[in-house]
Amino acid sequence: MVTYGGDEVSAVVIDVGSAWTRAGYAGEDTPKALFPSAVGIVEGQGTIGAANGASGDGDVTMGDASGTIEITSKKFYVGDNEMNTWRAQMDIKYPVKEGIVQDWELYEQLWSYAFNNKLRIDPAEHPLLCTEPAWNPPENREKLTELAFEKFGFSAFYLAKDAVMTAFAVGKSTALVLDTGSSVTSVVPVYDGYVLKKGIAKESLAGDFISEQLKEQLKQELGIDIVPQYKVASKTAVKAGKAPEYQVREREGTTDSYHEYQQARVLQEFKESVCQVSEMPYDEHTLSVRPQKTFEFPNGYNNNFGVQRFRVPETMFNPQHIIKQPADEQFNPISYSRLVYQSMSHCDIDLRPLLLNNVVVTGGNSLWQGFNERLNHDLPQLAPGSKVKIHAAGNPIERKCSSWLGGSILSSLGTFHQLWISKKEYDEIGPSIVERKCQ
Amino acid sequence: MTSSDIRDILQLGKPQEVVKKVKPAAEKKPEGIPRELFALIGGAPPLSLAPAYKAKPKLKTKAVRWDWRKFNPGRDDGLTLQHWVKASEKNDEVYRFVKAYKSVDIIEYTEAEYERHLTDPDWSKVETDYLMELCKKFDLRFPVITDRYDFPGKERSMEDLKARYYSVKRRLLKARLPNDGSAERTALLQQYSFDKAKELERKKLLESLFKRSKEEIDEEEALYVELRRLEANEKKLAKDREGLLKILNTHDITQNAGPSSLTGGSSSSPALAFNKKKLNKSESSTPTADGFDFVEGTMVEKKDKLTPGVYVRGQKITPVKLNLAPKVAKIMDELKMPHRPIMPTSNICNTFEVLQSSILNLLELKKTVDRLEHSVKVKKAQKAAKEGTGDGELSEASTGEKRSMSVGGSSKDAKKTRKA
Repeated sequence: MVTYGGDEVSAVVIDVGSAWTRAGYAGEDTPKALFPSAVGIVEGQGTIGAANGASGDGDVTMGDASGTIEITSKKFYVGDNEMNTWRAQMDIKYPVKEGIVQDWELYEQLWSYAFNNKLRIDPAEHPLLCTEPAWNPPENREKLTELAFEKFGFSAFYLAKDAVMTAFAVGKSTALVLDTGSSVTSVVPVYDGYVLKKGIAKESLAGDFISEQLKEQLKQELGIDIVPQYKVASKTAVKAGKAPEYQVREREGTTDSYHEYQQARVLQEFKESVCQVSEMPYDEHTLSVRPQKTFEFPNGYNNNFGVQRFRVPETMFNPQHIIKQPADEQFNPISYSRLVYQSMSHCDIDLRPLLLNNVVVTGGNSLWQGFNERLNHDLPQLAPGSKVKIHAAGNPIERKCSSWLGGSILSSLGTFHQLWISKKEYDEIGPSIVERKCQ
Repeated sequence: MTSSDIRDILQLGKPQEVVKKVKPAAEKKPEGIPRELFALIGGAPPLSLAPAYKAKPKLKTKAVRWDWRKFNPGRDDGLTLQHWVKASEKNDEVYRFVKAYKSVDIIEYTEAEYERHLTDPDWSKVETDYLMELCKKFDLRFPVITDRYDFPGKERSMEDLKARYYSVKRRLLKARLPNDGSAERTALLQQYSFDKAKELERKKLLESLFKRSKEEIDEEEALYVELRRLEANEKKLAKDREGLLKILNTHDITQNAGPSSLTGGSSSSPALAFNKKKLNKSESSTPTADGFDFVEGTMVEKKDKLTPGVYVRGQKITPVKLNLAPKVAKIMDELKMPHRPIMPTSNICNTFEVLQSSILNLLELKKTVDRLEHSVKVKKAQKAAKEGTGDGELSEASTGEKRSMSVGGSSKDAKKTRKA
């Protein structure tokens, strides 16, 4: 126990990303709860009785002087099963974008689901370690602190940078962390456990963007529209490339966001089972001899995918391959290897060899086949004189939950307990204490 | 139903008692025979070697009781956390990880000290305070301090910050430590000296090293490999060259055995005559005669090994034998020549060599003449003795001859010849 300096105080660790939320006990190697960071909402107007639900939240608004009482009921659905169940008028919303909390009401739902429904803990008995992106604005950090102490009543709290946690998870205190998730890809230099803010580089070319591109590619090249499972009543087998034969299940009142969410799930499966990153720069000729892969969509359409399965993922390393430019004017993507180089270039010259020698790759969007090989090919070409070493966990779960894992390690260390923000400190100083204690 | 019931039904009667085979006691392994070998030639391994089967492990110790206890992790705000502790263990008086809570001591200063020692036109006191606070906060991790440094109106590089911090530290130490000139004090002050210009220069060079293109690096690498190859081959090459030269030289020497063995002592008369001719010419005119050219050629061919690398040409002039050196020097003086060539061009060196060998020739000839004259005199004396005309003449003549040698013929030689 003493040998590795651990001292478990039953801390709880939560890591809310743009796509997935991980929560669990410190000292364990995988989070107990792993569920999508999306909330299904059904809004309705009516009597109070309609507002009752498992995770319902009645919101009573007093009208004006006329005396009528208007009741708005909101019902939230969190967790894989609840969210994916089809419900009329259910909107799917993401409270977190690019790691930053956008909607605090929904964000609270995620926490409450994790702590009350999944872990089933009494927050007063546990310290809480929460992760945040390196570019989290101060007001958000204060709000998180407030949420932990005021709303949930944890006994102690700490806010840690996810890049630092990822570095700790692979046993490094200095690293260049390339974290590519669903809504943002970021490169963060970490020096001795501290984020170097001037070196942060990020872009929105990430998993969701690739999915959008794939959707566009399938539409343009094969003329198919993705029909998610919930819309398919029955289907018959068809030959590869032939038009699908299936019965549509009529779903009256399906919201766009629900439909898109379900489409994204199909695309996710398509990405995981078919697509691949070319280990060398994209070359249509050499890639066309690679074996084809078959994929069947929920409506029965199936086809063999050859060189197409390399084209969209190539955008990550060569943004010229983008099929559909997003509406955002400011969207000016650069390749991941260049992003790493750019981040490193903003650091002191003395640190650069150290950082390049400790490139840590993490995030769900890094799990592409061939991703590490490609990065290993491109990056040394940008920095020819330096030794580049890329570290990526082989276990996909570890790659998806690396910052949670780092938090789990950190908060079970005996020497860490001096760093918690205690309830007393919070009461004395207020939420601004987070700026002082959590660097 | 047991087997005896079946036997009853089938009327088989009681089974014969199975005679239990008593295992013969395992033979004891004689000493000096390996176990494996004994197992092959001797009996089966003794039962004691087989693992004994235990139906139930004997667990005498009871499960240790652990308590879920409150503790204070060494903080002054009274935060209590809980962890599992063995019930037998007492609570730590001080949390055991407190000793690992380390931080760097940052030097502090008073208002008065700042006024007296630390004022700097570029740094206000507020900013210095801010820097010191950051140093304390990040335990002197300058990359982090530089990253988080955010003082309104100032852009500071890491070198600026380091220079300021170390100058503050140095000045304070200088002011606080008694100036006793001890080595400890100077060493301490030396430790905190920071040369900003040097550091900037170093970083600039590192930057340019980092920014090399692929081609430059490849070229550098190729050159480096080439250098290593040359270094490895150098010794071998030098050896080969030496061997080759040796072969060439021996060939040369055998060809020109006559003229090159001038200093050998005994020389045949045609060679002598030839040398005489050459000697006369070298004194008077430029070497244009055919014979002289030939001699010069043989003289220039160096017999000694070629040293690899750069050498001074003057060094290559054949050294004069130590016992002859004073005589040669004397003649050189008479000719008003320096003992070594002043401007050792190849031409001058060659001519100098020729001159030097001519002088050596001259000495040799003089010696020969001396000897011959001496023997003539001896013969004459013998003749006179036979005829009965006195010995005194002989000794007188020999001493006189000795004096007459302007070159300073050595008495040693004379003695030798006399002995002979």
